Amino acid sequence: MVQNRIRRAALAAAAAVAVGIAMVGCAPADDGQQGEVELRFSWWGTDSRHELTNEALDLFEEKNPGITVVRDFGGFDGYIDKLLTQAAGNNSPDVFQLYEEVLREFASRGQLYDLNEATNQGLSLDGWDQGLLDTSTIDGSLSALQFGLTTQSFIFNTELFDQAGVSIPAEGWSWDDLATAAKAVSDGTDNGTYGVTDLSTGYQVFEVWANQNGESYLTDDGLGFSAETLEDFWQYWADMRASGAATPGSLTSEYPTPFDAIIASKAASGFIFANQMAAVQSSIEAEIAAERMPGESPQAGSYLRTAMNIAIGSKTEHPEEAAKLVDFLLNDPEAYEILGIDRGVPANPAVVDAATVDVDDVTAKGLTVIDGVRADGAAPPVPPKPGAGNVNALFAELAQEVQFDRMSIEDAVASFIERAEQELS
Amino acid sequence: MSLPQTSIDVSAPADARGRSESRPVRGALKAPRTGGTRSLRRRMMLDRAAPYLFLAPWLIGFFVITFGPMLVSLYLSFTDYSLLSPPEFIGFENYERMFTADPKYLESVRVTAIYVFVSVPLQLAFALLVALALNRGIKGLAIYRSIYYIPSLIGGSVAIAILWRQMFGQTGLINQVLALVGIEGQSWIGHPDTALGTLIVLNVWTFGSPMVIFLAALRQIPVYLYEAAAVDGVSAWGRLRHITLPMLTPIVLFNMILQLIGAMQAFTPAYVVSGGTGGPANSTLFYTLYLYQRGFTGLEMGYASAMAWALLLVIAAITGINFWLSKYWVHYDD
Repeated sequence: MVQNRIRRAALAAAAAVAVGIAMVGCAPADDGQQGEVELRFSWWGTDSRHELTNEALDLFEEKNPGITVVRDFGGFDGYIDKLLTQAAGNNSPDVFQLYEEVLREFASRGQLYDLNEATNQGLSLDGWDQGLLDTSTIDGSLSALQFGLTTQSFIFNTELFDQAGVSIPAEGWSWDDLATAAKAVSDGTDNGTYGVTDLSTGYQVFEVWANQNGESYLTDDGLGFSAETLEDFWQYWADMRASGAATPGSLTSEYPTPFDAIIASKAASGFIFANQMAAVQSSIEAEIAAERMPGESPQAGSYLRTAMNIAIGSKTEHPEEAAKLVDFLLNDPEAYEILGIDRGVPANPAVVDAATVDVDDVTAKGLTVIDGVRADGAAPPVPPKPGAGNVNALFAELAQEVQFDRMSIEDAVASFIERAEQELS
Repeated sequence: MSLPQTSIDVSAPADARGRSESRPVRGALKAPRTGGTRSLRRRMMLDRAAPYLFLAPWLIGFFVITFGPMLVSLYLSFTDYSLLSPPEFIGFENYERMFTADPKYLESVRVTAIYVFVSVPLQLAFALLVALALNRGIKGLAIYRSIYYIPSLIGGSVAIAILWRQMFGQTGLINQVLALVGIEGQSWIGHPDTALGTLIVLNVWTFGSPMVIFLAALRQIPVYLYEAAAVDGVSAWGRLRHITLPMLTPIVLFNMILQLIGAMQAFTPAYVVSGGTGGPANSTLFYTLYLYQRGFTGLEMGYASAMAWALLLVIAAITGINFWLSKYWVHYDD
């Protein structure tokens, strides 16, 4: 009798626990109070970008009392994995950043809201260059807008250059100038410090090289360069490694990007995007000098490039509010007084002055480089096709085989061309 | 649980209807028609159901979080799925491509095989040696055991992998120590010949968990065997060869299977040490890391699912082979 009661009570408790555990998985409802709209905005970046963006978003919330922006930010690593998983679970943010390499993947699968529609809902495209709008128009729909423009450039650690007694190269310099200067810096500094990071694994550097040779890296029909061009590129860097001017393979592998090696003072110069210069300067004590890419004459290879895009998720429940947020982040001068050129030069010329009102030396230099490229740079390529992600990874992989002398340059080039064409088809 | 064959006295508890029965019921539960026994039946049903109700939380978790997704991933392995649009059925194409048209896949299998078949035996040998050493009755055994066990708790974590990356870099701790002895080290994680070695060392470093199990097993070996050996004048080496190791073989099998399965699924160390690239030059491209790359960077979740199921089959096969082989070398006490 008592046994049965205990047993029944225990069963009831177990059932309650089971129900309780199942309930834990349920999320609370989305909307807050009446009339309050919650937007989710995702972005990646460094801590300085997070600070600036949060400040700008606070300003947006002030100006738009019915809208709250839920912020979702982190580093670049893993950002796209998170976004893909959210998309697969029908849980995409309302507004998010996207980099150029994945724009087509998202757009061609209907994940992005047509921003032409948003122009009737609070987004203004006045003053925007039609060419930029065209590059973001995929399958007839304006899939995203440029959240900043940047270009390829080169930075130098002035301290290390001074130590070796080498002067910083000036505009109009060539790849041979880089070879000589880098070798001199390697010789003139301590063991373990090199003149330049080995850039042979960087498809973004090769892109410029190909453009300078009248070709291109990826086109709508696949690969846009000849085997010789890639062979020359990898041969150049093999020579740089042999002469000691560039970092050896094992050192390059330790640093994820060329400018990480510069920050660690293992290399005195390297490739960078113009909008990243300020972040590097803030991480290193030595003064950074910047210049346009080498080899830009007779044919320019660098181009005005989308630093990153901003897009609205196609399944957003609040398109008007999302349009307002995008308009604020792209067209409002007050926003740019806060954001500056951390994401690159704003695409809307009307806010460029507000963004550049207070810049330090290295940022000013970056702006000069961008202006120069804007004036006479190469034409920007179309957004990369699906499969480009694998091709870029393959580029780095085969470049490493060459770096460690595990494959000859001809074999590596042939293998790359064959496998890349497969990925893109 | 068989029903009691004694008579059930249903007169004592008054049932819900206030009636009481005074007729004893013999044998197994025949179907009595009066109310008192219906509540008894209900109680017996609840009795039977009680275990499952208690298991319910775990069962729900297992089916919803583990087994259900496994079935979905099996389905996905036969599709082309980019995460951004619904899956498209393509039959065995993923499996075909994996084995015939993907050199990087075969590379990842090779790297994982080297990692598994080098690091697991090394780790187990180390664990056994340390367990034998600790079994001599050292003072402070509990402290040593805990200290050696801690690495296996944190070994798979991101933090340790980051630490490892720093330690084995060009200017890392290992090279600094080597410099004290006059050896100039290279970048261990930056060179394809040695990068995998650093991951093998990491796995061997987490020997604590099999060691603790070996230590417990050593305690289980009956002392009279050693006493008999002492009487026969067997040497220490002989005792090891003829008593300790044979008696330990079941535990060796257990640890071996556990560590093999774990090593074949290793991901975090490779991901963090190589920065997600599997580099340099694919030298640390573990199978699961390549799976992750294919799924997220390449937006080919169907292919990644096919890889996952191929791995599952291989792990099952290797485990099965190990169990079959075990009858030739494992001595069970009974």
